[in-house]
Amino acid sequence: MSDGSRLTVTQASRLIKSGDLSPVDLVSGCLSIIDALEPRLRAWETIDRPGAIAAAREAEREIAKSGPRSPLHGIPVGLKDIYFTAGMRTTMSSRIYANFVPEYDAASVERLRGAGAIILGKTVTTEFATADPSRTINPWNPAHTPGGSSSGSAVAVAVGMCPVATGSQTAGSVNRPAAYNGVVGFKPTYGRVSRFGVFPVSWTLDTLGWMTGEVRDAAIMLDVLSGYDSRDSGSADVPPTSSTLSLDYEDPAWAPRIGVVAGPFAELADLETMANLHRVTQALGAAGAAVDFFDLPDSVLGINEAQVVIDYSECAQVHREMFARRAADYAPKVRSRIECGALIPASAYVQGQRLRRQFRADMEAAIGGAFDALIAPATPSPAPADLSSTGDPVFQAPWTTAGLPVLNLPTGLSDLGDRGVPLAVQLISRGFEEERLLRVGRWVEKTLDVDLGAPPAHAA
Amino acid sequence: MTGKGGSGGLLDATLEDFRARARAMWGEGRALEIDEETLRKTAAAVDRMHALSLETTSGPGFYLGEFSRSGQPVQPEHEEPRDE
Repeated sequence: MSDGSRLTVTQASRLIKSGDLSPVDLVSGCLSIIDALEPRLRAWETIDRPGAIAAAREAEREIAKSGPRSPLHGIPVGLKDIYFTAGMRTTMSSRIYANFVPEYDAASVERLRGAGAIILGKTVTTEFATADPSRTINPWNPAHTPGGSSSGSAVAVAVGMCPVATGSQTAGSVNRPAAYNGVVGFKPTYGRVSRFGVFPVSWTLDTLGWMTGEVRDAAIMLDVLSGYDSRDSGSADVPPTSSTLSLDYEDPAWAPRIGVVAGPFAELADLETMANLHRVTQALGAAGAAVDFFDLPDSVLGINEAQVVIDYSECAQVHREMFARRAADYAPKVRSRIECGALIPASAYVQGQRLRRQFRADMEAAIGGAFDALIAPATPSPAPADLSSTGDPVFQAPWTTAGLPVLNLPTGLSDLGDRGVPLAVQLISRGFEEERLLRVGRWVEKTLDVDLGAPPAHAA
Repeated sequence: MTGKGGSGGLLDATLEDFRARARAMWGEGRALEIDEETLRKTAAAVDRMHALSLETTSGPGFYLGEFSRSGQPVQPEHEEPRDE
């Protein structure tokens, strides 16, 4: 029997199905890692130890009797602490909601519980999922930011506190912390996963995503969480995905067509990041991928500014009533964001909404049938040695604003100085083509065969 | 991607306008405490949005339609088929 330590969802799920791993042992293994590392890494707001153990025992009984309900049956999951959980504190990592206990589950939490997943607890977010750095520590190097806003989720997965954790992205809050902490980060198409019961940052930008140990895990999560929900006005009326199935039956001779995003990305990235991208694309080409340059459409110019006016305007309205009563209880950066967002004229907001649709249309046309996915550096640099910031979302915001799906993968460790933080690339596809994107991601993952090993926090 | 934010003069005018409206909305003391980086980033983004030139000729409503509803890739206004 495995003790369940540091397994991916795919590995744990197979062992549970074969009877070689008990959900109770898996949850206990995660709790042991939390006990050892949480005092230093501070990734959790709430750990539901008795609830998780009880759910694991129930899963064990049910699986023994009738087999697993889904690949997530018996798998412990961490939830970013903006996902509502019935009867469990949901704080938004804000003092205003420090004792808030929702009466209902978010739609995504309903789906996870329905699939048999075990809610291990709630992970730390930056306050209201915006820009004030959280208390969470990067396990690769404590002097470097873990990123944000989904900082606790990324760190929890990186050190094996749980095999999967959820996040949300308004600019770069899933893919950036995933890159900074050396895990797989996945953000589906806007509208693919219901946001009902998740505290908003910006209604027309927010997209749920997750961090995992491997690409197939991200596909498992997508298949469970995708689907239309009338309770979310941004929900897309499209069928749920079956991306895990398409990964499991892929043609071994298939190789993807990959477009390398040049232009502004090359200008903004540091030398090590661009050298890493070059090394990766060379390796993919050598393995059979058709690699060519991809020119971004002109409408990319201004897209990050469009993200800012939409994000800040909507954020100011989300918080308008609470802010009028409790402004002094907000952290400095989110407070300034709300105050500036309230000053943005409607004309700028409308232009931002128009530009994002133009950019989306231009990207759909430019990718067309020419590429299966695009590749770019995940971030301008590895996690910066600056704890006053969560890093720059400039490499994620264009895709989030256009609503396109993004998958990022670790590709190695920085060898500059002694920083030892992860390097990563991101893959982007057309909207609602997550199955293709995951297929490319799985191929890239297999081709590169990267194993970062355990972060130094494990050995400290 | 990272917009040019209009000319330096335009940004200065927008910044001053933002400062004046922040004082009016949030009060003199609080306006002084607004994070300067956030204020500048917002003003530059507003300038950039006002400098955009986008097609507005056909397909009424496309630009503000919800692009997730149908699950279909969006088409720009000038490519949108119209019923006569």
